[in-house]
Amino acid sequence: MKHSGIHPTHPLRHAHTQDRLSEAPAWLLYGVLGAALVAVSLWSLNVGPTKIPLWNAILHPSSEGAFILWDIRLPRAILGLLVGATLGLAGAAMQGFLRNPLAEPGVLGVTGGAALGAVLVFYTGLASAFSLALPLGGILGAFLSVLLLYLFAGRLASIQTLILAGVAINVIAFSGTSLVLNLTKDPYAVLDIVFWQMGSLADRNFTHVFLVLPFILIGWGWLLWDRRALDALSLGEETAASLGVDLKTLRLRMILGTALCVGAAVSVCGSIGFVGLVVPHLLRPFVGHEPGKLLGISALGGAILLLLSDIAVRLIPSIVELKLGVVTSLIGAPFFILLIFKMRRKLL
Amino acid sequence: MGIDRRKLSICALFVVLCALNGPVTFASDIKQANPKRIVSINLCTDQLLLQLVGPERVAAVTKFSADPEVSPIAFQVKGVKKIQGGIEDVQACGPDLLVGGKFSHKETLRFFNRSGIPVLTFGIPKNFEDIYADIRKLAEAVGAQGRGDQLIQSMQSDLAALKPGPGSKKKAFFFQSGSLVPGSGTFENSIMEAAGLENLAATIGIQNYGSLSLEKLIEMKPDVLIFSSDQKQKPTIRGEVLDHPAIRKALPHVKTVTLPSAILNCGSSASIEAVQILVKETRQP
Repeated sequence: MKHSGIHPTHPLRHAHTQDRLSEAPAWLLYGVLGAALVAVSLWSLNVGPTKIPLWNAILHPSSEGAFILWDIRLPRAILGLLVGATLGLAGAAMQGFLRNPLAEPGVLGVTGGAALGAVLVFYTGLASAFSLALPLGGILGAFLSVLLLYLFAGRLASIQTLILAGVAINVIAFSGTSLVLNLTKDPYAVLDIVFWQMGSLADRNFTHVFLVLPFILIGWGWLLWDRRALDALSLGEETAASLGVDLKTLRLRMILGTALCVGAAVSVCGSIGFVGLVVPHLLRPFVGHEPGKLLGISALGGAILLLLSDIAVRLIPSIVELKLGVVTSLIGAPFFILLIFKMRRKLL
Repeated sequence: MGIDRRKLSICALFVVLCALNGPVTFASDIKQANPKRIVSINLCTDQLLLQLVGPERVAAVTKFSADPEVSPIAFQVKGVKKIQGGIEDVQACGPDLLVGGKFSHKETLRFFNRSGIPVLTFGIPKNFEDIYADIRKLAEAVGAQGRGDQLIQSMQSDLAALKPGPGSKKKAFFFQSGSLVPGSGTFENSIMEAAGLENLAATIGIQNYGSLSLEKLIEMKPDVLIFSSDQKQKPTIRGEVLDHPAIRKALPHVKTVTLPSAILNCGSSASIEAVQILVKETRQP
């Protein structure tokens, strides 16, 4: 294996001893987060505008409750899990690879680009004729955004350059999305912009799940492949190269992996911001600041956070259901501001 | 000289009075005017107008009215000028009567009101009585009362022929994009009632438009689901809920009726056609 260069006793493991919490053993972390995910998923299946006793729905497969459970709530919970895990994982991978604590698919414009790609194939009717066009459009949009990010900011960009590049990509993507929706002949298509900007899991069905599942799984695979290389990279590019990390293939897998899972997720759920920022930061202290170890648990954490937010949009009383991104941004934006404050101290 | 001065001062007084009188124009003021360059800047007033006067008296209509997908009068406005409805657009037509909706192009309506050109605005009808009132109001303004009465009478007799018999009504939802349903006080509700259907949204207390979750829809077990063709066929995220597989699975016997959007966009004599389709599709012996 090319990139298994880190020995367990490598100094990296002790690189950040000052501000780490008591580093938990991996099995405990995965156990706790996994149990929490199961609990949150069950809760998600139980929440909805009608009251259906879950047991009754399972025991009577042709009752209305059964259809509500299996065809409305289950695909919603599964998509929440897939999209949340994608955003958490992609956030952790981008932060590790760019060695930048503010990197996140939403802030850096990857979800925005994916939304533009999906909007282009959806409203031209291409996705109705050929359903795979929808995730492919999203993936292409996400891929171009990541590519632009590298063109604008380069590999070793400062935090400010990277964020500015993200702002620019977000602006381009948002204007493009608005333009396409405005040019659509249907005057009501413009109302959909809320979905693409804020994201939602409402009334999604199994077609959406199966449409994106393969792309998301392949994307996860590519991102998780390089967890050791990310650990090595945190010591600097030269050190990583001397430890046997092939930086070119690492970069390619990171770009393609992010584009695949984020692009596919956004194409059926819209852009949901800040999950990829908040989750890795909350979990980092538990893994001793090793970016490789952070990947798996950030995926679990992302799924939990997104499912909780999706439960919140259904429980908060409102005339029209809140969009998911509203809740994640309400959680994430103050967090983002806090991070900037912390970093400003370091930068000055 | 003196007489001239007096004439002048009367004129000035008149101008001042006109200015004081303000921008309000009543239909009765223009009763006898017989306008010949009528401009309409709303899709629904386009329809009302073309039913009452020939296209030769219409200087311009909205560009939407020529689109058969949204307008039932597309073939009638072939030779008429189409405009967007901005102030300059309308000015260029030299109108002697401007008609429009209460809620669109408000600036244009206000501008021409101030410049003394008669302006008539129409609200959104909530039932067939409102449509009759709109027809009477416009007919009076364009001097076509006879034609207006004729139109109203034929609508009334059409509706009478479609009147439901006694017996239990089928329960229906008019399920729209974004999970919206029209309840009581909407024109859709009047159409459903005229076709002899019970609007479940009105039954559960929704006024105007309300949001109805897919789960609640399934729980209410409607006999009939009504859709608008535009929302059912054009790709939008808000419209995807109309094709949710849970509807088919949980309500396998529900009768679905898709009404052409062109006859739903406005309350007019075309609305009778919507009632006819509903009756034909849902009232089986």
